[in-house]
Amino acid sequence: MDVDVHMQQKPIEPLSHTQPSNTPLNTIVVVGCGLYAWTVAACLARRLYKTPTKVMVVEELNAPVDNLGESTLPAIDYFHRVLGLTERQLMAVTKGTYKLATEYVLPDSTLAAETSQSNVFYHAMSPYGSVIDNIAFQHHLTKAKRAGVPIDLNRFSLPAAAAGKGKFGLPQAGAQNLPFSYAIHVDAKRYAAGMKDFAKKLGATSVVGEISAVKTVNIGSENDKQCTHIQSICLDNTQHISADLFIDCTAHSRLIDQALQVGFVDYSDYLPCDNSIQYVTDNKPKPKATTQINPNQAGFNLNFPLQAQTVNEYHYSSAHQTQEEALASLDLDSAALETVIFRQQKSQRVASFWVGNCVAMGDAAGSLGRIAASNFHLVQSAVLRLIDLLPDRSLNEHVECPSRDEYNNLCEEEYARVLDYHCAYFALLAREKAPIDSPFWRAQTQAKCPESLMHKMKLFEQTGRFPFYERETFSEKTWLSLFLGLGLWPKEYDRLLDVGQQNLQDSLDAFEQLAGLIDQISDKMPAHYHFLQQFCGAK
Amino acid sequence: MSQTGQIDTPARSVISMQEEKEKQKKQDMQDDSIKSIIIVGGGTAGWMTAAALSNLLTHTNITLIESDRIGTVGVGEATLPHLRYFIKRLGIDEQEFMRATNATYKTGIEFVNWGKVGDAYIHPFGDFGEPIKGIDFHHYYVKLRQNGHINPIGDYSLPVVASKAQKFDYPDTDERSILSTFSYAFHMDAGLFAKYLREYSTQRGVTRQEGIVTQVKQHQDSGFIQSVTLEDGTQLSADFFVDCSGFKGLLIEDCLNTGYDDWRHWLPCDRAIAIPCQANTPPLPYTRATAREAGWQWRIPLQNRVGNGHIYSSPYMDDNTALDILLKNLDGEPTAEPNFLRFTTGKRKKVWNKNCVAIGLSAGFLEPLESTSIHLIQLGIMKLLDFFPNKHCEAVRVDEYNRMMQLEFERLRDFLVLHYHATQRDDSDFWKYVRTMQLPQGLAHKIDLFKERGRVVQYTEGLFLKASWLAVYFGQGIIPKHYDWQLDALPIEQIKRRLDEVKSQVSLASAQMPMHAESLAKHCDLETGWQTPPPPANLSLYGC
Ligand SMILES: Cc1cc2nc3c(=O)[nH]c(=O)nc-3n(C[C@H](O)[C@H](O)[C@H](O)COP(=O)(O)OP(=O)(O)OC[C@H]3O[C@@H](n4cnc5c(N)ncnc54)[C@H](O)[C@@H]3O)c2cc1C
Repeated sequence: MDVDVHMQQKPIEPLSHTQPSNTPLNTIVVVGCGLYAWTVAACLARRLYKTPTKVMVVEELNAPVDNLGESTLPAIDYFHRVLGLTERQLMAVTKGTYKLATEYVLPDSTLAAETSQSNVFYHAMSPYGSVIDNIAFQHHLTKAKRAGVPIDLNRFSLPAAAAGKGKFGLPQAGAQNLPFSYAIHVDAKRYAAGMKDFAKKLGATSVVGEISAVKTVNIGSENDKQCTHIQSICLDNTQHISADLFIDCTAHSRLIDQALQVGFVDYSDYLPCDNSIQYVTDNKPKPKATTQINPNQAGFNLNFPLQAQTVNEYHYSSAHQTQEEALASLDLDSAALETVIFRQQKSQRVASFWVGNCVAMGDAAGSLGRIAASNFHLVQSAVLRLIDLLPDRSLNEHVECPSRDEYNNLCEEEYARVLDYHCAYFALLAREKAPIDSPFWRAQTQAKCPESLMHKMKLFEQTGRFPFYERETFSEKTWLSLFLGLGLWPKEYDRLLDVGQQNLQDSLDAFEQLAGLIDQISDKMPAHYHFLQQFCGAK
Repeated sequence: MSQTGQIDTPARSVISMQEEKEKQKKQDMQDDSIKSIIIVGGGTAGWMTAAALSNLLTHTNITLIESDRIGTVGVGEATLPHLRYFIKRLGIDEQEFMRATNATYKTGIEFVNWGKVGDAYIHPFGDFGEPIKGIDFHHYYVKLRQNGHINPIGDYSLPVVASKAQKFDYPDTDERSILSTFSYAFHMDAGLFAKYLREYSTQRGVTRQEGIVTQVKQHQDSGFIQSVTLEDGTQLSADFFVDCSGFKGLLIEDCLNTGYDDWRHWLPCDRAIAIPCQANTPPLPYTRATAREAGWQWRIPLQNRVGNGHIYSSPYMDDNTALDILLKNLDGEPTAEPNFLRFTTGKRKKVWNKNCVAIGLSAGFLEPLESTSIHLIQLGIMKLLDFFPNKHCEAVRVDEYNRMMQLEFERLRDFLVLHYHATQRDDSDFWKYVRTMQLPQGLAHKIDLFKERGRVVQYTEGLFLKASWLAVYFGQGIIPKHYDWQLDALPIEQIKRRLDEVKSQVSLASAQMPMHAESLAKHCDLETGWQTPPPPANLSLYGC
């Protein structure tokens, strides 16, 4: 009797139960705390809203301190739109400011000969100049430069010019089709709190605790690290948390390295700054919409404004300065001293970004330093990529996982390109001689840089062209202005410039016309700070 | 409050001094600059190169050597939309070009019997639907399929639906219009095209030299090519050489011994027979590629005739059988004798070696399956102009050129290999081989990723992007196991409604388009053509 009843019931079973290999993940656990972890959780919660997959955050107790703030890249606007967040709201909540350009302060030796007037290059993330007579601006510039005309790049970009004047306006202000782009600076704590709030509203849950153990299981051959999966993590020796997929957003790669032992690819030969001192100071009266980068004794200073204060970071190499020496060299007043935090971070990345069922993002995935403002960007890019390639529950049953392979390929290519960008700063600044006379910077004149960057610089110098690399985070236009702005000029320009009727004076006239227009428009923009007061709740 | 100082506009006098200086520098530079170029070969590659160089390098002496006695391959008759950009850059009127080459329009390729016998799909010059809420269209399509609504993905692509109905019109330039969602190319008579470009080039100062090159001389130290000698003893020297001599690679291989990567284990076809026949029906606006037992047959409609050919693999089929199959499958009476061709699929190890660039068949040959050869010629020329050297041909420049061309060839190769591999056919040894052969590195991963997650491995440079891979995957029976998980949040009815809308928009748009033959007549007519000028040309395969 029983058997018959059972058999009758069988066909009623929903189909999906018989196909366990193609079912969505039950739970994704994000481990870590602070800005990166909550951003990842918020993005997952948003994109997987109303799907069967649940998002949970394990907030690590006693985690190392976060950065004080984040300087971002223009792509953050896309990210926020994906999340459905409006920028104005965000600026108010995070006490943020705008970023029109990276302000490279250059020692005279680098630029003096180049621009002959200015030791500041405002690097905006939109193209400089405009096409003149169907020939790209760079060729006109190069031709003029070869003829000995002094060139100040800053005049040929609206955001760069506006940044120099301490102004900010919205894109509409960039009428006349002048390229314009911007990013933002945010207070890390406030931004993290905002993301946490947002993630929770979308159903993400969280627990707090100290990770006391991580239980792993090997689903394939013993020697293959890719086959080690995390079964559960244990909090405070009591609570076990299991999930289908773990995202390691901890500061010290608690899962991916400490538990799964993936190891790192070391970049300290290329990028020697491994320590930072961060502190806040009062804002100058009119904070510019820029992140400023300035070479210093054993590294560089980086600072950017928030609405109420300025975040300062000194990144240095511990091979050249001890923490005491570094701190002393900053000569801080007592107010600033009270805010000081210390962070250690070698330049490296995990050997594999996704192992088994664990994906590392943010600091857990490694760091290339702060010059390119890329760390946070790489987190955004990583979480979107993961959602794109999200596996099903068979992840923990099969050794093979094409999504994981693809994810790792893409991340590796992406990191390689971003690494080049970071290295370019040191390579260009110390190209001819040390920008400041210190052992650190003297060492940079001899320092190694990646093959791919060498090729890029050489090719550019010879031909004015860029090699084609896949998966560039920074567009060719951005590379171009970086090279020119930091003093690397090509030997050649487009030969069409000599073929047509164009003479040099025509190019120079076009330069002046463009610079004049940019000057006018940027003059009319409100001061950065007034803009913040008016629209973003700054006091 | 700027820290940036301002530059005063330099005064005129300063400028003239600077111009003097500049002239001086230019003169210094000129000692290094290339003053003469010899192109060996007058096929499609040779004359395309001559035309582009003569248009841009007005101060350079350009000579093209060809021999009427050797002749050209010249069967390249199906093209890609990029060719429009090329002729536009030369300042050639598109409609005039069509008249001169008996051209018809092409909006895609129909593949018959590839996934399995009886299957047919079109790989269009256009996309399938648009992303909705940031999620690619084909995920919605997969979800719909999984819920039992199975129809071809081509129903959501205007160029597919329009091609099938034999419709053609210029795409709209308004990006919002569904009529902007495709590009177009041409079927043309390659022999007439070369002739046209020969006229064009000689008018622009290119010297055409008739004769057979019998000897190539190198500089003793550098190994750079110094001169070529013709049968009659004439010796011609130049600073730079372009090898357009076809399969044999007279300069790049016979002289410079550059080496060739043989790819026949992935692309095993190595023979072709070409034959034109009468056109008995109005021309179709697409190429047809019909899979046969040991290869495939092409059908390319021109205004006045139909071009046909049978591509096959010699280990699996002999020439007579191949000819039989071809002749049995013609639309009309043959209008010429069959032309037998042999080739080795693969690529020259370096397409630029010393002061010589190989362009055309001398650089390598993949397979005409996706009409990529003329595109590779165009790319080779455009990149050569981008990286145009001085006499020294510095390594960094040459390396980058070679790296890019290598990448392009490999990506095209993988895409072509996919056509052979993604099949259920096991009706001949040929198909059994390609179905189970070991794939080039990376291709297996691409296919697995699509099967597993519906993701197409993406790159930004390269000819065939996502839409093309989707066309072949779906067209040849590779269907993803699952769609994007985010779609679990959407009810199926909503998705169905949305996709039905797209489908009806597509068929409505197609219904309103004129017939291909009608558009062709109108555009190629001297009286009416100029009233409807073609849209701007770009380098996109998939519309604006
Ligand atoms: C079967 C087949 C089908 C094809 N279909 C297409 C297609 O649909 N679409 C497409 O884009 N491409 C196609 N192609 C490719 C296309 O035909 C070629 O890319 C194109 O014709 C270019 O050839 P070429 O100019 O490099 O060489 P060729 O046409 O072989 O020209 C070689 C030239 O070199 C000259 N030459 C050779 N040796 C000497 C010497 N010693 N002295 C002087 N001159 C010499 C010859 O006189 C000739 O002018 C196809 C190719 C084949 C084989």
